[in-house]
Amino acid sequence: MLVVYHCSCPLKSRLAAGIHAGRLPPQLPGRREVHAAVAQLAADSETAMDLIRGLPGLHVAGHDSAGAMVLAMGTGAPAWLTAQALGDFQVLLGARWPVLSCRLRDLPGFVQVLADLLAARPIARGRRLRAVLLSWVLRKAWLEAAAVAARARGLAAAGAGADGTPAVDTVAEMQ
Amino acid sequence: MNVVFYCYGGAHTSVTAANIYLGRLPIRRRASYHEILSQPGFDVAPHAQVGRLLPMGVDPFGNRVFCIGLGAGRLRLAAALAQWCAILGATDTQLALCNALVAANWAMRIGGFLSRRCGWVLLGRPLVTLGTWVAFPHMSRMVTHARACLIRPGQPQDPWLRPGVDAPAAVTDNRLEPEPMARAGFWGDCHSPDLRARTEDDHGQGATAHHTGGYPE
Repeated sequence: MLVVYHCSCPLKSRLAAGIHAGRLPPQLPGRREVHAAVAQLAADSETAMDLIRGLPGLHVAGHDSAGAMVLAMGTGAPAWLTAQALGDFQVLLGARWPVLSCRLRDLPGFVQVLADLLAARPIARGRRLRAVLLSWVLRKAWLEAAAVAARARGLAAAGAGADGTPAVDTVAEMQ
Repeated sequence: MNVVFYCYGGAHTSVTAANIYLGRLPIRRRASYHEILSQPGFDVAPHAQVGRLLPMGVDPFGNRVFCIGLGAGRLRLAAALAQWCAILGATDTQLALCNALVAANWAMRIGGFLSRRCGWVLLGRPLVTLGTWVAFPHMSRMVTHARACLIRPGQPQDPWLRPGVDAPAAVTDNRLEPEPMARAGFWGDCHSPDLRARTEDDHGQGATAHHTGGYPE
């Protein structure tokens, strides 16, 4: 099974995928732990600058306890658009495995602008400021990502997607 | 091979490129205003269709041609979708993504925005059609390049280069099979229950389990 988290923010999608894969704790940690999570996300990416520049493309976060491959996709596009494109390409090509597509709620506008600004070189140049801003973004997104990841883990363990039936709307529950 | 032209909204630039590719619009001359306006799928897809694959037809090699709108982050999203398809098992010979928006001009962007996003069709459609007419030579060159990239070694000839087949009237002669494209639902003949079940207004869906039921031939 494939579990893919998608959101406009690459940080948030990687955060949810990391929680699902068991690499990050589901509870909101303290500031130091969030700093450590930022470092871990950076270490998971190809280079640390990939994290700052917006993490283009698809990221494989690992496998969960049930053996499902967990992916994260955050491209800056709205989550509903990404969800439609993912589904249509999956049908077009014919996937060999069932797919659980988990849509995260897009970040508020000003947070997204801040996350985008992190990609700019003048701001990204200062390491301390960058870490503080990234940690703030992650703290804003942590609880929702953890809730969606917990629900997706349950759905994945129950074999959702194997029969083609749509899963429950996790975003609506969060709202 | 699945050839996918993508642009911002999937209603003008990619549709025109796909129709040029399929031979429904001329590639050696500039299409007229009326030809551009009457091409199938032009200025039809609503904004809710962004992110949806729109089937345009089958080329002489048997390649299926699609259009899709990927919004503002189309380059990054296209790269991510290519990786997604690779994870799903697709090879380089199964999927080709072509950015059609490189040929667009500001008249097309403004006209398309007015027509599709704002719903001001009376104002936007003539403007986007005029912009397409202006950009048509550029689009023809882009499609010519795309065709050249997709021709496989060992094929005897390029069927598009046969005289007389690169005009809209020759669509029925060059064995192309345009798919039915009604305004309400491009997937009307789709045999996949997964796609058929989805409606245009499903933006509220969160976690959706997709399962492949095969793609209709």
